[in-house]
Amino acid sequence: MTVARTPDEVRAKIADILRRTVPGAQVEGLDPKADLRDELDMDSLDVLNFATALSHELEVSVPESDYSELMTLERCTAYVLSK
Amino acid sequence: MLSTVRHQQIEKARPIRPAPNLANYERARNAFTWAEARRELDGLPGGAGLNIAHECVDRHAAGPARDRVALRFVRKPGTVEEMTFAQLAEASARFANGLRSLGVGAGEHVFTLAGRIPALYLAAIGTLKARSVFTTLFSAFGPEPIQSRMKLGRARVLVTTASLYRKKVAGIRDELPELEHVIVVAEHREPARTPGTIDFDEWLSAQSPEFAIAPTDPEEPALLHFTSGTTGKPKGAVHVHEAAVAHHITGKLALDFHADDIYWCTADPGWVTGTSYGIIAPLTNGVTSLVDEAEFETSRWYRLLEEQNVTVWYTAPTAIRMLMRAGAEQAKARDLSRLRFLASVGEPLNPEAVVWSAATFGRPFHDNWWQTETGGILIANYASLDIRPGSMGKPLPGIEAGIVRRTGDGGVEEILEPDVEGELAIRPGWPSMFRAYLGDPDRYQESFAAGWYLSGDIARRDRDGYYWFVGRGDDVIKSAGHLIGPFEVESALMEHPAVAEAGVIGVPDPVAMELVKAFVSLKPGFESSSELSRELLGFARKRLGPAVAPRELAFAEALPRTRSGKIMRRLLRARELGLPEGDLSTLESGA
Repeated sequence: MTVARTPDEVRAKIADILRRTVPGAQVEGLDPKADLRDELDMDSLDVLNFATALSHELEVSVPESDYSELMTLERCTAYVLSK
Repeated sequence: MLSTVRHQQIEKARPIRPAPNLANYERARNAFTWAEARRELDGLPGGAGLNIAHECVDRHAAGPARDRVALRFVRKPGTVEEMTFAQLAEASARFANGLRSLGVGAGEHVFTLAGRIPALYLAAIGTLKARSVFTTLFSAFGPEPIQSRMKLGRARVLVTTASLYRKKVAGIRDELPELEHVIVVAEHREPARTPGTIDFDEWLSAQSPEFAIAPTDPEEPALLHFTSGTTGKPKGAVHVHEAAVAHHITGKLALDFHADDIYWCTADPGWVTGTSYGIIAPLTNGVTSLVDEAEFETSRWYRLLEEQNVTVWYTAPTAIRMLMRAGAEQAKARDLSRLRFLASVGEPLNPEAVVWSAATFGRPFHDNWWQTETGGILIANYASLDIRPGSMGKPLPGIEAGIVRRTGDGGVEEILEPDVEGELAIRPGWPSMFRAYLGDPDRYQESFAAGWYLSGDIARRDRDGYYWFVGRGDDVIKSAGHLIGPFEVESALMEHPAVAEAGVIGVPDPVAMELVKAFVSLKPGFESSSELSRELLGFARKRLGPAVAPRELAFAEALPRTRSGKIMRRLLRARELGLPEGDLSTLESGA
C-alpha cells in the first residue's frame, strides 16, 4: 500500500531527503537530468544513505541494483512514481 | 537438468588456474632476499640506476609485451579506452617532455587532482620519467584538504579537470604562490578555455613522443603520499624509486599476479593503494589493469567483473560489505568463473565477509595489511595459505614484524608471548619504507624506536604466527578505507562563527567501519537546533569534501579537556559508546 502522491510532492520530498543526507547540498536550480553524484559530490556512502532514506520515507522498496535509477532528479522522481 | 547443463558449460569455460607464485609460505620466507627481488627489475640501461617509470612501462614497451594492454579505462558512460604499454610509453614521454618545456625538473612536485581518467595515469608515469615527484590528491577532497596538502607539498604543477578546477582550485589559487602551472583536462560541459591554465590535450600533443630517462638514484624521491595523524597538519610520506622493488614483488606474492591476468584495483590513486597497486605493481608485473572511472555501484561492478574477465580483484571492506547488503543473487547471476584471487585492504575485513565471499564467489577475500608509510603490503593472506577469517595474515617474505609495547622512556620492548595485544611494529629496511615526512624530521624520528618502525596500529599475533588487528593506538579515524585526522575536521568546524570548540571521533558503522562524528560547543548567543546542526555539517562538507567531513554532529555544553587544554577525544568516544572512561587524572575539573 503506497501513499497517493503527485509528481510535485515526490520532487519536494526527494529534495528534502537530499538536503538532509547531503548536508549543504544546493538542490535548488539543479539540472533535473544531471547526475546527482557529480553535481552534489556524493560518494557511495551518500548514495546508500539517500536510497535508504528514500525507501523509508516514501515507502518504496529500492533494491541496490536500482540505485543507478535514482541518480538524476528526473529519473528518481519517475522511479518513485512508478512504484 | 537445465542447471546441470549450465554448470557443465561453466566448467568447460573455466580456465586452467596457474599455481600460486608463493606456493609454500615457510620455504619462500626462508629463501627470500631483497637483493634477489631487486633482480626481477631491469634497472635503467647502462647501470644508470632505477626509475619506477622504466620498470612500469618502458622496459615492457621495448620488449615482447609492447602491444599488450597496460590500462583499460572504463569511462563513466561505460565506453572503454585501452592503452598498450607502447602507447603508454609514448604518451608519458610527451608528458615528461611537457614538464621539461615548463622548466620543471628533478625533485620538483607535480600534483594531480582528478578522477580515474587517463590523464592521471599519464601524469604519474610522465612525472616519474622526468624524475619529478608525483602526488595525487583524492578528487572528493574539498578545498581545505587540497590547499593544505598543496602548500605542504610545495606543488609547482597541478594537473586537474576543468570542473574540479572551477569548483575546488580557482578559489584557493591565490593562496598557493608556488603553484606555477595548472594543466587542465577539458570536459564537454565546461567552457573550452579556463583562464590562467594550460589545455592538457593541446600541451601534450605539442611534445615529442620520445624521452630518455636520465640516470636516477634509487634513493631519489619519487612519490609523495599524504596521510593523517592525531594532531596537526597532514603528514607527507616520501617514497623513493627503490620502492618499486617492493611494489613489484608484493604484487607477485601477495596479489599473485601472473602475466595474463586482468586485474582490477578499485582504489582511487588519491589513496596510497590506488597508486602502489592501482598504477605501479600491475605495470611492473606487465598485467592488464582495469580502471573504472565511476564510483561504486553493485550492478556495474558485477557487470565489469564478468564482461572484463577480471582474474585478480583488489578492493576494500566497505565495498565488500555494500555488496553483501545487496545480496549474493546478483553475483550468482553472473559468470565470474575467471576470478582467481580476491584481496582486500583498508580496514580489517570482518570474518563474515570472508565467509560470505567464499560462498558467493567460490573463493574468499584475502585480507592484507599495510599503511601509507609502508608503501606496500607487509602482512597478507596468501593464495596458498589457509585463511583465518578476521586475520590480516602473516608477514611477507623479507618482512620481520613484531608486537611491541612502549616503555615510556622512548624505548620499546617486544612482546613474544602469543595473543597479547601491543603495537604492530616492523623492522626497517624494506624498499618501500617511507624515507621522510616532508619538512618534519622530528615526526619521522618519532616513528622509530629501538630498531622498529612503530605503526600506531594495535594488534596481536596468535601462536601460529597470524596477525589480528585490534584498533588504532591514537585518535585517527578509519572510515571507508581512509584515514582521517580529527584535527583537520575540528579546524574546519572552528571556522564557523557559532562554534566555540569541536572534538571529532570515529563512531562504529556496520558498512564504513567508522563514521566521523563531531561534538561541538557553541559560542554565547547561539542556540543548538537541527537547522544549525545541518548548517555546520554542510559548512564542514563544503570545505573538507565528503571523504573527510563529519556525517554526524552533536552539541555539548562543554567538551572534556586535559588541564593542558587538549580535547580528550578518548573520553568523548568512551562516553558516546558507553565504555569505561579509563584514567581521568589529566581531566580538567568540571568537564
